[in-house]
Amino acid sequence: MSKGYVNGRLAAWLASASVAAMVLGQPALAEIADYSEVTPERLAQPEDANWLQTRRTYDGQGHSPLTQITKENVGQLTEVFSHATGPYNTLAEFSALPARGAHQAPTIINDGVMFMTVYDGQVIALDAVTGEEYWRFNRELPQGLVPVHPTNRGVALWGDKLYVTTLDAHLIALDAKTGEQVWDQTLENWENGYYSTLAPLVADGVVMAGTSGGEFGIRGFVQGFDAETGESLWKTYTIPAPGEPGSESWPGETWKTGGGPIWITGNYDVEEKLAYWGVGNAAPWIGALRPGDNLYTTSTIGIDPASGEIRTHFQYHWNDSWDWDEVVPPTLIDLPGENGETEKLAVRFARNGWIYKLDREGGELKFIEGKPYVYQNVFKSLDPVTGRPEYNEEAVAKLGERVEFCPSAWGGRDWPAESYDPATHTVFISVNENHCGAMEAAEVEYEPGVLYLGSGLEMTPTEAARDHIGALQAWDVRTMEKKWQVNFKSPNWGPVLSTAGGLVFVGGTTDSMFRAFDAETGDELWSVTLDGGIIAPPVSYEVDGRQYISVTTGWGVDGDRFQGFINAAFGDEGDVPQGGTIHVFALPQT
Amino acid sequence: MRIIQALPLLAGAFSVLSGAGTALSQDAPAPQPPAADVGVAAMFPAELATGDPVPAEILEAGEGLFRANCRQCHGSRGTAGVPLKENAKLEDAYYLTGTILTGPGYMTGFAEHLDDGRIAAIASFVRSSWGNDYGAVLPQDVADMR
Ligand code: HEC
Repeated sequence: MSKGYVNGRLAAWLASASVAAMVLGQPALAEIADYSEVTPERLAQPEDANWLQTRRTYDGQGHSPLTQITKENVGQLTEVFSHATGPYNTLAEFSALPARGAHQAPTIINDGVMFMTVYDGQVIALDAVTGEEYWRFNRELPQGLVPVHPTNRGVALWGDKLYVTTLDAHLIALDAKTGEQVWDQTLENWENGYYSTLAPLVADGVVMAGTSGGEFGIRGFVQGFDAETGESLWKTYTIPAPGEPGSESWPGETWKTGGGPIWITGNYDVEEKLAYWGVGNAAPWIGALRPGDNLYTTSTIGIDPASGEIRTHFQYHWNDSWDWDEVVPPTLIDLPGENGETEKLAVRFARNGWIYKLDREGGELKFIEGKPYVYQNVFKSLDPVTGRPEYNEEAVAKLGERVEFCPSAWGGRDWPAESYDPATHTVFISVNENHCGAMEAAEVEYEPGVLYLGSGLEMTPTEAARDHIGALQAWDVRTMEKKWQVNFKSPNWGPVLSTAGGLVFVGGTTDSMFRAFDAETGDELWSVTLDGGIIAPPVSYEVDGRQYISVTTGWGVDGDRFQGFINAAFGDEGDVPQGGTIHVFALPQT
Repeated sequence: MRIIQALPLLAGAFSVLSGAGTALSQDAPAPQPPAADVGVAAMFPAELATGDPVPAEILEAGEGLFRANCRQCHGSRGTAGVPLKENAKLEDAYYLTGTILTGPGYMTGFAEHLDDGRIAAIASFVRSSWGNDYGAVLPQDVADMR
């Protein structure tokens, strides 16, 4: 079923609209006639055909139950349509932007309607079968904004609305049928370094979002809003104020500018009614400038969407000095045990290079075990009971000294999401290894809206990087053993999609290729070269009995930064093509 | 060790500024080259050598350009971000101009956006401020680095 335009509206628009109007993205180009309302039940138990949330399901598994595309026929995949997301807005009235704009949003699919966001403040609604646009929403960004991460990671759906965050740190609600703005709330003042790139999370009528800005000395938070009215219900800081639990982990006034950004969508435990959010790095980057554990930076926090209360937390590493943001929430996994019981797990591949298996029974995070998945030389060990790491002091930043550590700030994994196949208990994840970093720390002063770092970031590929930096790994969560690994000479920045057809789809490499692997063996079964590098999550959906795979090209931000260092080290030149196109694939129709 | 010197420019990075994302975006104008007027470069007297005290006019131009292009990340007093205040690395004029041209890590690369005269004025200002006392950088020094 493909949605029809409301009679006459498109024709009227075509007759009146100019290209300029299109660039300005006048909303409500065409109304979606029979839009399917997104209910709490549908979010908790989405139809196989749909991809209603960034990771499809609240548990963050990023796995599609669709089976039409299989190991046997994936070789026949062909492009059904492609759709350019441009033209784009000028992003900054500044002589040079610090990064290329990147496409990091999954296409969100609701019964044949596709939603995509663009890094410049646009939201596009299109027909998921034909690629025809219904409407385009455009937000004009304020002058003077210098986005260091110009990107957006997608929409959230609820009822007949959709929600998106903006680079000027707003959360806005649109009418999903028309693209008209319903409400607009300010998360924080962008002039103080707050900006937003994540897809919101909606649970039980509460829209939750937070902001980036860990490089600007923000004080991070998760804020909950009434999905209907936009009324703010609560705002929970990721850094406690004096007197609150955890405040003793911040000396003096450091809590006011301590970072702790929220820039990846949380996962939601429907049973426990608990939203798990990943909290990023502390500010400034140098731990010696804020001695203490610095709760809740580099942690997962469990927030009650009704009250905003933090009910549980787990910190991966204390007093971060490596810019290892731990913003990706753990994947929530219910593992059937041998005796019929169910293990309630939260499994997380940390940016710090270690895998953590946590128990989440009763809505409380408890350490079970951890092990490295890439080479890491900072931890001597983890405490077997608490999971707290002991550090190798030589790899901890010190003022006035250059200190090296592995992996570099971009970590064993960065933000690109893993997927989990519950049938085979396997996590598939994109990692980068064979790169180390260095920091040379200096005292730094806070100035509102200005970078607050205390060091540059260096990245140096190791000798082994000549063989590979990027990889796709498959891990069995029952045994915590790696099943297979596929190496790429290039880094791998690709979020992963797995399907019940026994396939794993991933882009992420600098050759702009999109590939499908055999989930059991890691054998490459299909690939295509696209118009740009892929750092957006692939998704799968079905309309009228036909299964589709969709992915958007759009290389930029940290993929570029990382590549700049690799090119410098190896004397390579050249850019990864930027792309900016939604590509949709399916099997040929017989 | 720093690897700034060898850092290649992410030339395509700048197409975004003009509204053009890619070859695929529709009706996008081509990127504009940096303003090529000689206004700032002409302020440098012929006899000025690298490391000389910087004439007031150049300092003033350099300060204005610093505020427009660098303040967002290094602060109005050179003490934010990665501090430039009392930074001994600025003694090396080539390190400084190389950094401005290429923009390592989170820093912007300015090669395509500022001409030699402007970069020289900024570099001269930074090397003469906040406890730094390393003197002038010439437009020719910047040209040599490109
Ligand atoms: C978008 C933010 C940004 C802008 C704009 C910016 N810088 Fe930087 N700058 C940085 C960062 C981040 C570093 C550290 C680089 C690294 O990771 O090694 C840096 C490093 C430097 C360094 C090296 C410092 C050291 O101790 O090694 C110099 C010098 C410098 N910048 C000068 C400038 C000048 C001059 C301008 C304006 C023309 C400028 N920067 C604009 C962010 C910025």
